[in-house]
Amino acid sequence: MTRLALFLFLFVFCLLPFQGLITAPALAITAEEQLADPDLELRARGLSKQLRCLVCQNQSIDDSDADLAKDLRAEVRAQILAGADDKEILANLQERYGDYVLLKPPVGLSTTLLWATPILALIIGAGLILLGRRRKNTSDPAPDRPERPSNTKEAKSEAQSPPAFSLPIFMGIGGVCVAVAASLYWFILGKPQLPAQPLSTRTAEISQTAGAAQKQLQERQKTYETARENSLKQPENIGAWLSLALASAELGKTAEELDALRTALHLSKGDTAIKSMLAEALTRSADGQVIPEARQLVAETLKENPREPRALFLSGLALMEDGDYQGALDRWGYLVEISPVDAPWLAMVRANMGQAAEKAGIEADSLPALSEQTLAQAAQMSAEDRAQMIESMVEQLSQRLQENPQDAPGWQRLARAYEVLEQPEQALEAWLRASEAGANDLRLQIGVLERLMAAGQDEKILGQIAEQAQAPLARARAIQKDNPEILFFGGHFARLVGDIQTARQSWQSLLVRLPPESETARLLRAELDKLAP
Amino acid sequence: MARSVTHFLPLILFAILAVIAAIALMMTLSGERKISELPSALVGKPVPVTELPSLIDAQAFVTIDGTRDAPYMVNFFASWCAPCRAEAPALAILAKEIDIIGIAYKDKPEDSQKFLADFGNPYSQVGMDNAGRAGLDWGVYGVPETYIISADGIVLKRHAGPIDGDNLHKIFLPFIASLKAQQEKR
Repeated sequence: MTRLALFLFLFVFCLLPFQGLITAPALAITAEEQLADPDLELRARGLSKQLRCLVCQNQSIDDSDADLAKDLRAEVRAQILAGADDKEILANLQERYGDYVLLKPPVGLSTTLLWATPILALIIGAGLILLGRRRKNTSDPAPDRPERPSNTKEAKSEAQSPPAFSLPIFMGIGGVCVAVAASLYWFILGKPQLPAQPLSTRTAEISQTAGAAQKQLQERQKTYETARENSLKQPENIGAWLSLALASAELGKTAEELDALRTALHLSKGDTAIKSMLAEALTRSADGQVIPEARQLVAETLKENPREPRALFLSGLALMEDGDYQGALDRWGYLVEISPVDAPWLAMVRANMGQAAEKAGIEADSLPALSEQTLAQAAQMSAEDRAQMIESMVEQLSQRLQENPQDAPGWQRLARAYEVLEQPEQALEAWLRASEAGANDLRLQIGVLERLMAAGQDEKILGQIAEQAQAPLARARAIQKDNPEILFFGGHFARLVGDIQTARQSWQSLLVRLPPESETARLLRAELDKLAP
Repeated sequence: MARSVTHFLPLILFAILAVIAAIALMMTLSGERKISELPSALVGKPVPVTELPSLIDAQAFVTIDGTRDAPYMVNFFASWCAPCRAEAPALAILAKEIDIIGIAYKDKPEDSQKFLADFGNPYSQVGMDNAGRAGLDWGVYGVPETYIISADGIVLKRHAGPIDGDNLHKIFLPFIASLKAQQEKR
């Protein structure tokens, strides 16, 4: 064991001098920096090697290409020319940049431990060795054990050896720990389902992507040129300028985009939509900072049209920049509220809201949301939070559906929301509206019938349910008359209203379609037998 | 018994080292310990006397040489530096609380002027440090860098990097408020 450790130690330390060979330093110093006097230049180089570049932090200023390193090199040379000696120069820089600028830390109160560590390690090591020796000597002359000279060696090593269990047990425990940690790591981070993607097999794919990108660029270039020509031909046409702005934006020609938008804005005499587009372009040009001009435009836009989505988004961004996260959240929350469900910007707004919420320390769960996914998440939230979130969502949704009752998916979503809220009557109502709106959707009709059947467990409203089921049944039959599920529901609801004849007919035609030996067929036959004649 | 203790000594030492390393690593990962943040040599010392040509008035000079009526801030910026744009809103808020002297670091005067026109000018005076000499005196290693200086000319705080909404509310505003409270006591 000790030998192995010694070997590793020597191995690592022998390699250290070669490190410089492996990573050859860049030649940062340039000819014009050098001093004319070779002796002074040598001094300057020597000093540079002792000073740390504060930008790169692990290079000397002699090695570094950073701007600051260049300045510091010039500073060192200026001080040499001014007649300062090495000590003074180092002290000077240390005063401004601290101990950190010296690659070799000075001996001082705060660095005592650093410098003393090797000596301490030596002392502790020597102490341990001495301790071990003394123990060996004291245990050597075993008083009451007669020893044969030939056996002395064995006896010694026996006495010296530690309790037999310790080392193997500790190595064993260590091994198990490593194995457990590795498997945990693998289970959490390992993704065995990802196939290997060696580069050699992907050359075709890569060239294809590159080709597609090239083609897209060419197309964009062409669009841009056409737009430019059009804007020159019709300098009074706002649309031409807007298409030019769009085409320039796609090619990353920011200055031209801004010019085109300004022209369009001027021509339109201050149209709010163009104003907000200009604000957005300005923000993009400033790497996402909402600069004062953009803020001004946003404010003007919102004054004229407080529901302008682009301006709302940007004003949220500006608030976030100012550190007003709650304000940004409110602004964006309002934007989500007034946006159509399928608005293309919703995903981006939500992502930004997540960020703002994180910064403000607000839980993202309490954010208003409308998607099915959030509904599924809501099922796992605490009952109170969930109810509150869904209630506000439901209110917005039902309001929108009153305006647009033909939205079948909307009714379905509303129905599911009521189910989560445990309001079965409203849920059923919404399902019926969904059935009405989506009259051509067989799966939807079957879904509605399933829910009606489940609701029919309650004896009191049984008759009412059976009646309500007639409309979806009729719609489903109109789509596909002999669908087995529809035949089953037809029989079921006919029996509920007491129409035994129809029930029998329905189920019998279903029975013909089922494999005669199947479990379903057996159950159905039993039900048929139970029908009173 | 004594034997087994010495026998386990290396293991115990190793365990202690491992725990220290783990704590340091956790602190780094959680962002509590910032390895890129350098200690400043100037904190607690008098400001380096600085005299620079003014950006706004070609004839005048901006002088920073110690005592003033109230605490003030010195902010190194440049038009070519993106984080400087990012901290413009924070500086605008701070300008209402404290006097800020700007130093345009390695920048062309016309660029600095355009920068101030675009992003707002929070400074009471702006000095030009075209060669970066003043930057060397102050120990600046990258813009933006901000110093808070007491009324008697001692550097109290140094902040490297942009002032964002977070450290504006968590560090700067509380610190300046406490400075003002101290001054009123006197």
